[in-house]
Amino acid sequence: MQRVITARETGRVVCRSCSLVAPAKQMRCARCNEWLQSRDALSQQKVWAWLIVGLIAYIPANLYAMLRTTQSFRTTESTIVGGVVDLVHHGAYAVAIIVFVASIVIPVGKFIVIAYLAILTTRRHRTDPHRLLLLHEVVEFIGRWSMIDVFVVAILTALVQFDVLATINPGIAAVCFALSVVFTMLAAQSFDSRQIWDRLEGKSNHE
Amino acid sequence: MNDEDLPEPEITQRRGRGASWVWLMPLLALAISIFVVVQSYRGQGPVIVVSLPSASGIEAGETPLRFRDVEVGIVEDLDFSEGFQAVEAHIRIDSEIAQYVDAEAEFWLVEPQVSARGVTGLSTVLSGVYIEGTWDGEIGAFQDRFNALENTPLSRPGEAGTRVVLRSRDGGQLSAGAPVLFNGIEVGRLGEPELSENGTVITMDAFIEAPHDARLSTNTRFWDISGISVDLNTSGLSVNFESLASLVEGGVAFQALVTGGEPIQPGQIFDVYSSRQDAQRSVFEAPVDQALSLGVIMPAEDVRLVLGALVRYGGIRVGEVTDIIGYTDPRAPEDGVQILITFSISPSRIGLPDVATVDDLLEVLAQRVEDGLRVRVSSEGLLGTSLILEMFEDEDPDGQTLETGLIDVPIIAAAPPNVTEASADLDAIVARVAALPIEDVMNAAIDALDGITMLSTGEDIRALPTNLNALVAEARAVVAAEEIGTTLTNLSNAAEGLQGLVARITDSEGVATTLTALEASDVIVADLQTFTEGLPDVLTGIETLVAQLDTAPVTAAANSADRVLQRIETILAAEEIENLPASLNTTLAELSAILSALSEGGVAENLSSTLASADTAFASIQSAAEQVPAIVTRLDSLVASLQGLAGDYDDDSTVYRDLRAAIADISQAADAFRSLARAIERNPDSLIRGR
Ligand SMILES: [Zn+2]
Repeated sequence: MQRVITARETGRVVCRSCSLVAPAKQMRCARCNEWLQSRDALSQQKVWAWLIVGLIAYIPANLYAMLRTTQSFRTTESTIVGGVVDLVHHGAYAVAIIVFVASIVIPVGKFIVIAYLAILTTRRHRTDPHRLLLLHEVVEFIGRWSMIDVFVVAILTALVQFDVLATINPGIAAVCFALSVVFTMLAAQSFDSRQIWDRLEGKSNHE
Repeated sequence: MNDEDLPEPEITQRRGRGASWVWLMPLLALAISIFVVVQSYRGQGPVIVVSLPSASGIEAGETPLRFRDVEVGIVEDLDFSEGFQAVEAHIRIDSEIAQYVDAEAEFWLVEPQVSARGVTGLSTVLSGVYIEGTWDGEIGAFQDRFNALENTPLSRPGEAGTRVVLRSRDGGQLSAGAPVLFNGIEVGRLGEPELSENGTVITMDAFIEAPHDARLSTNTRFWDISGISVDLNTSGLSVNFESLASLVEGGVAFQALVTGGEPIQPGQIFDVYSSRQDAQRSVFEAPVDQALSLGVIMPAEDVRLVLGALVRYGGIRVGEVTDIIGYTDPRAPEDGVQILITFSISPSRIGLPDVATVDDLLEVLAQRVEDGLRVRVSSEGLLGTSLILEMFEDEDPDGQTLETGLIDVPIIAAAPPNVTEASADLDAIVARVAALPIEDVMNAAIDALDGITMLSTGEDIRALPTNLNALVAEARAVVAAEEIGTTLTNLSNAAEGLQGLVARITDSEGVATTLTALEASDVIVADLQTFTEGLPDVLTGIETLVAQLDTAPVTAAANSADRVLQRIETILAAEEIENLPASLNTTLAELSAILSALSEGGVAENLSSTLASADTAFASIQSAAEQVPAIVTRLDSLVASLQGLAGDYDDDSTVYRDLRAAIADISQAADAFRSLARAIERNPDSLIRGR
């Protein structure tokens, strides 16, 4: 593996906002006046805190109804899993897979990945830092797209409002799901990816 | 750019290690979650179990419980009761409602229903069925198991109005929810009709809404307004039905048909009469209250009762016939099918004591039967026009006892029927009298009179010998005799009167009408008497005429003497004449049987004296009828003599023409009398008996 020198090792600090490199002791970025900090000491705590809030929100998101469909006076409420089962019953396998991936696989995957990164970086490890970095990038990138469920609900709600014949309303789960997504995004953002390099074994470290 | 260009960094250490504020977030989220869970658990009401006959349309988690159309609960679960007798719906009710759900609460399933009164529960077609509950506003002891009502209840707790019980022998077209009308306005509705235990009476609750329930009193009568009644009377054809809904769905109307009456208590029992007329009639016959069902077995030929026929004891209405069915007595199967009549009576009206239990009552009744209490079919009314079941004390009891345990009602011993057939007979008499050619006789007599008058007033007739003139005058006197006119009128009056009498007697129910009828019969008898008294005078007149004709010094008249004699002989030789006395006797015997039956009818002395004179009257008709052939003979001979006389004149002379006309008229009169005679002769019995 190619030897990678971190900014910290050279006594510098990089601005997380505009990528300007500054001496390690400098407090604010000269360009964007952002607070400079070589490592966010509270990063771990923030990650875990947001992750737990995200998890807490994810529980009702699955227990309660995502959609309240009223069809000619009959109201049916469907949870995420219930909706997927319904779709499979109706033979809409493709849509079922999309919903399943967007609502179950990705959020759960995100919790696991963020937790994995957080745990991994607190101790010495030999994992390829490039892979970890990529994982973090992916989690951050996917974050906003996890809202796809909420978007679908929002669009359906907006489209299907025929009053008497059929109406679709978001259930309480949609809000919880949105919150869960937001909190996991915050968790992913709180993760200080520079830590990946700090406890990498088999490299000369100043610490 | 190098390090030196950079601004001098601030070298203050911002903060050390410590807990981040961000931990507040999960704590807050957790707190909120716990709060929500606790709140929703605490806000959750209790679960009640409602048993329904079937779960048609109910879905767990969807079917709501509604109270006055507000959703106050939801069916959480469905399962079966023990033994699969019912479906149990577990309903989670709102906590603030739960305290009102006590023993008084009622639940029922609301489904779409299409009936003549429209569609109810229409919204459930789309939304699915729901369970409706109702309870009062008082907090009571919570109860969690209920049986659902089969139908929407008649009234809701708190709804102002009065519940009464309607009792009907024939449920007819009455159905639950059918309207109760007052003067054509719907003021209430009927509940589910229910058969009584023995299946003979149908009872149903009815709810009369306030303020119309204030119109109810003990004098209120209810009647069935189902269907159409068509009435054909003097004012034309009228079709009546109360309302379109009642036509299809049935319904009852009520009204106080007499003033007064006590206010009623809720649950008061009213009978439903089959029509307004019946209801009106009932006002004068007190209804039979507490009922005891009895049976009586009779030979089929003895029974011509109809369902609902009255049961009387000593003339008082004590009950009515509730069922008539064929029955083979297991004790005597060789008797074949007999008739089992079930009837209900009010025990107090036959003098049974007011005892506590039915068994005590039957004990007393059994003693009465041993002492001779019997049941028989009797005819009622002056002429026995309607049949009733009569309970009476047999003077000489044959030791029969009250039979219990054979069928579900005690069987009381039967006595032979006590039925007269007088009414049919009287009708027939009137019909026969009316059929007599009285009018023909009258017209012919008038024509004869005219003919003879013409003859006597003709110019040429004056030229005739004086004795012939006198003869013609005499003939004129005979025909013009007042007796003929009056007797004929009397006869037709008698016939009309007799018809009226029978009509009135047939319709009569009370004593008042009976007396009217008797008065009328007096008039008839008087008419008949005048008629028969007058008839001999007529005959005497004719005899004198014939005698004078015989002695008239007209030569040609003698030529026809033989012919006249021959005719008389033929008439007298007729078989019918010989038969007359014998059949007359039978007739009179039968007539007196009728009369004795009539005299049993009740209004004894006056009636029997009247009827005695009626007897004579009919006898007079008969004797008059006997004399009619004689009149005919005399008239015939008069014609013959006149014909002989006419032969002496030229064909074209005025006298001849007038004579011929007179002869034709007299022959016609003779013919008319003859046909009257024939009508009586042909079958003398038929005049009286109609057979
Ligand atoms: Zn910067």
